[in-house]
Amino acid sequence: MVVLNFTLTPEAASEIHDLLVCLGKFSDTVAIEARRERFTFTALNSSKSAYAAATLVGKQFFSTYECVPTQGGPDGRFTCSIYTRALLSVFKARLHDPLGRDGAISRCEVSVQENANTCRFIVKMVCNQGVIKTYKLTYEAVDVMHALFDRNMAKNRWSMRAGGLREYVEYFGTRTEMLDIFSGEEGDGRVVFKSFTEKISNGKEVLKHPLVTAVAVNTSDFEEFNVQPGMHIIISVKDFKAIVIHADTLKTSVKAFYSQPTRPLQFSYGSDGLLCEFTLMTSGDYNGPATAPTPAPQIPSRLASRAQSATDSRSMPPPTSPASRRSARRQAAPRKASSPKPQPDPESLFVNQDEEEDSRWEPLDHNEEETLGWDAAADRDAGSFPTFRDSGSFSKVEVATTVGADGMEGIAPSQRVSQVKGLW
Amino acid sequence: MDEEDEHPILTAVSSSARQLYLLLRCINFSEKAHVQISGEGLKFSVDEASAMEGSAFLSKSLFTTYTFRAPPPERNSQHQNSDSEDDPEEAEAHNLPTFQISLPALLETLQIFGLTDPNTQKPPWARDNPTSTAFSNNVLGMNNMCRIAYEAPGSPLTIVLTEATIRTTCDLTTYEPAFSDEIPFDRQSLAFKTIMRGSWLFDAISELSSTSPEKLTLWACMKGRKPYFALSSSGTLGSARVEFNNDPFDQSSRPPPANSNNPSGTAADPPLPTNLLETFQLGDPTAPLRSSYKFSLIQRAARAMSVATKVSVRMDDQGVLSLQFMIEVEPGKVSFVDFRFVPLVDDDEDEGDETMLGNGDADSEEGGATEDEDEDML
Amino acid sequence: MRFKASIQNITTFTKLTASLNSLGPLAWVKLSDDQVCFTIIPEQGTQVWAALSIDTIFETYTVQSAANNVINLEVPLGPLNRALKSALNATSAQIRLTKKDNMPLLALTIVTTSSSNTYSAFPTGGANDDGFDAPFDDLGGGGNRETIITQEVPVRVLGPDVVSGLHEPQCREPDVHIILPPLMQLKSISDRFTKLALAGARTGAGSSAARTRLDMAANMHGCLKMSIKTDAMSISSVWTDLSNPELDPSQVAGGTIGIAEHPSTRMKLLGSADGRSDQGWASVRIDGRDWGKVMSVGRLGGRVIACFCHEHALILYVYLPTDNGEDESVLTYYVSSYSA
Repeated sequence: MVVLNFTLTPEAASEIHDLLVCLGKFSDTVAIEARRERFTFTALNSSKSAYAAATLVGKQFFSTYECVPTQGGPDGRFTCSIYTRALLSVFKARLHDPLGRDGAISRCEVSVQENANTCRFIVKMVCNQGVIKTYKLTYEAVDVMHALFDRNMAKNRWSMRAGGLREYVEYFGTRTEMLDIFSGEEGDGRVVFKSFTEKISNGKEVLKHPLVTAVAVNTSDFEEFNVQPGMHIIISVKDFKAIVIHADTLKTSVKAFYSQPTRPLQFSYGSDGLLCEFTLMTSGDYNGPATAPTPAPQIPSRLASRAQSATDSRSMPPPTSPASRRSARRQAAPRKASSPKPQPDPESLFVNQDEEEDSRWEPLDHNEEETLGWDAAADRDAGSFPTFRDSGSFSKVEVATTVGADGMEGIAPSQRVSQVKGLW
Repeated sequence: MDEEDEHPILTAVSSSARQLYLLLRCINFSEKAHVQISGEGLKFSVDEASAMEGSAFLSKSLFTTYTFRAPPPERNSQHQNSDSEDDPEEAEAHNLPTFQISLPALLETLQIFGLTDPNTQKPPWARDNPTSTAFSNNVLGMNNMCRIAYEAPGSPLTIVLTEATIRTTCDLTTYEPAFSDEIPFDRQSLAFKTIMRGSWLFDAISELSSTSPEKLTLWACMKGRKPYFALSSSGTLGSARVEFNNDPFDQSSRPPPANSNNPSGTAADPPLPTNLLETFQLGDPTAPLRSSYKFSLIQRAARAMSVATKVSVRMDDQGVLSLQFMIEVEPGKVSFVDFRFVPLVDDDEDEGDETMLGNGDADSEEGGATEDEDEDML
Repeated sequence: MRFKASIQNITTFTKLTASLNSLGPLAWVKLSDDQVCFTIIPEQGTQVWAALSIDTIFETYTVQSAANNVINLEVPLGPLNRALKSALNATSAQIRLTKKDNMPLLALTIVTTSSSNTYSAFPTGGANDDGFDAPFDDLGGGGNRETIITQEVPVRVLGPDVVSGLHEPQCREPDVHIILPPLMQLKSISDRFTKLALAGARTGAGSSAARTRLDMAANMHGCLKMSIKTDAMSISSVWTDLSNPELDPSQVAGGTIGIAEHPSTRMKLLGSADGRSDQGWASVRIDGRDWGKVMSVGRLGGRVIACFCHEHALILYVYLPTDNGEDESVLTYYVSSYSA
């Protein structure tokens, strides 16, 4: 029977919360891999285009940490998978409260109980004044996969403080899907982060197109910037946002590593015993000189041995297919005028007093079917000003959770399998 | 009718609609509420499927003026039977005006001018936007003058709120009462009683709700010589338990009397609670107590938990749970909101839960729990 | 066709687009030499016709076109509002009409500067210990950073023939005109009324519009009344001590005689200042939810005059505060009213 026990300070428990919030944006479940010296959360999104791994160093991150896997000796490990939502209901916000108010904990004890009948991940939150909250979460024993990323191949690198990136992200339109990171031409000294959505070019639909936002930044604003000029590399806005927002909670800097479009990109950051690595598939124009096929990446043997547990798909598809495509295809179907209200992001930099004040002026949402929708006119005469009769809503952008099934369509594979294989 | 107009059954004026709102909001889970008017105050009660009921009492002390004139007794009414005549209170009770109103409508009316707690931070409209000082500080969000009137049987219940140059009048339709039996609670034979801070209970219930449970199980026993009280639930994602342990160094609870004569948690102003559980009494201290309730019903009392300074948790021998909340509507002025819950019939499917308590006599504080067999899980 | 301007009042522009957006997602924007007009014509509900002086929002404004320097655009208000929000802290913001891939768009170019602050060295550096005092005052790290943000809002250019058929509604002289109380007050109370109506009729039949029908009335003695009735209740709020602005003879057809014969002059003879009289009210029935959207204009903070045409129409004139007091910017709301 595996032994896994560890204790967290309130601060560390709160960091676990922030981490899970981030991982939850990639996947409904997180996988756990515990070794003698370290503990790793991993998440792989449903289209397998994004992989996240957060490693907590046993001695550094935890107050106490003990892991004795059942087998495998020093290299042995314990792996399982848990619903992110379940863990988040335990690792709530405000576990750490300097003022010690209700809900704040004094420590958190975690253990695993595994026997023939039951698999329980047990979290005990010890609060002040004698309140103890114990959670027993079901888990599933699974094999854990890792995406391999060869940094030697990734010659393009930059690093910037997360707060800066976070600021740029705030400018992006709410419903955009793709992010193009474009390093300006030689001597330009600029980098452009552009969020966009694939074009909808048919007539009136144009006005439903989300904002295209380009944020131009001086390379001098980076801590490090070493990228081939003129390169466009495209990832998912949503992934980028999740990463940047989490990195910002650690007040750290984000490092990016990539080789070329259609090859994976890695973001990496960390602080005090916590190291996060996100491996994302990319697309984009590759304007560089190396249009010749690149050699298959050499995987160092050490890494290759770790890859043995990768039993699932060996390909890493490009970023999730743009929802705009799918919705464009569905235009024929009648659509209710349910204008999707962009959820106000509570963490948005834009939220200031003024904004809060401003929200009071919004029409009250009475949770009722909308009677004033413009869709009502869809079948009627176009009248003198036809486009004013457009459906009142913009095409609804499905969020990532629904993307999975057809996540592969949209962008044709642009990579030979032989090239990709080594990644896993 | 004309004469009655000159002598309305009730005229009550409160200088704070907010106080009335705070109390009534605690029982806002039903479309209609019964209202009973007496010389002592207004009692509002709601129930759900006869499995729970909640009531809030607006004592006449909450009003600056409170004038009640009992309507003339109807002939042939029940109160003429001899039993009642012996008991003037009961006789009166039979004659008290009782009707139903729409509780959500009353609550919306009470907060028509907004109800920001004057003690909280500066309201948005008081900020630096001169054009939006719609309600300057003494208009919106402050205590509004509120007048409640009930002319005669069948009249609407009239609420008039006045603020500066705005006057809001609301006539609430009164409906015939639909009599249903109160959930009986035998305060003479208590199986369990404890008093704790409302916010602790609130925190525990919100914590447990994250497992989306169907039922809530309540546990109480003496662990060694220390009181132990816990709430647990389980759902699809796993199970959760919140336990309350009195500080180890505090004196253990008083010897539990077999029959408690102290029916309510009215013990005003006790010393600062050093114990989580201020009072802890078990009908039978030798046996661990366990009882389950429908979680969604208990959750109805969450609002009361969140605003209550204290809650008295009592269970009678039949397992009926009474939660009595002491709510401070203004410093030094308390009111009470009551809830009663009918227990779920315990099946044995989760017998394993028993072990969650650990051994009743063992001194192992929390250690036993992790090795226990588990409760049901999906 | 050319349009270019710097936005001198980003806050007003942002609030304006937010207010208009609550009534409809698309605006007809008419840019001309002397003013900027925004018009919202929803399929149902209130229309807005707004005419702003150029300097209410712009400066260094250029508009050129073959059609008398008038440009008509159809603009999605949501994206425009979102784009403007990102300019709220900008050091400068410009807007211009341009084309990309042969598609017209309004491009906002926003320049912001933020002071540089760097974190401690990557990847570890005790950030956890002193996480609360991130070094915001690190002056050694390169000073201010300038970031340029470009927001592209897709638009459609409307031909003169398309807009020629659109006319501002006409209405007879109102029976009562009154300055509304602060809209925040009015909105919060009318929102509660609407909520009550919806709650009260949850089980009842009838269309949702009928359920949220608000009665609005005003008299010429400074009173405004709003009421709603459901099975469970009837509720009304009465404001007193509001003001009924005097008519300006130069603005009324027929001058002094016109005023003497004006419907509002006759209404002055009826009703009372305490709002308790049944007489002298001009009333309309409006949809509570539509009204909630109209009230959204309160964020602009203008003075609002409501004109009641008894049993017919309610028109709101929202006057935006201006610096010079000369060129007035007015938003006119034609609130739709139920006949009975």
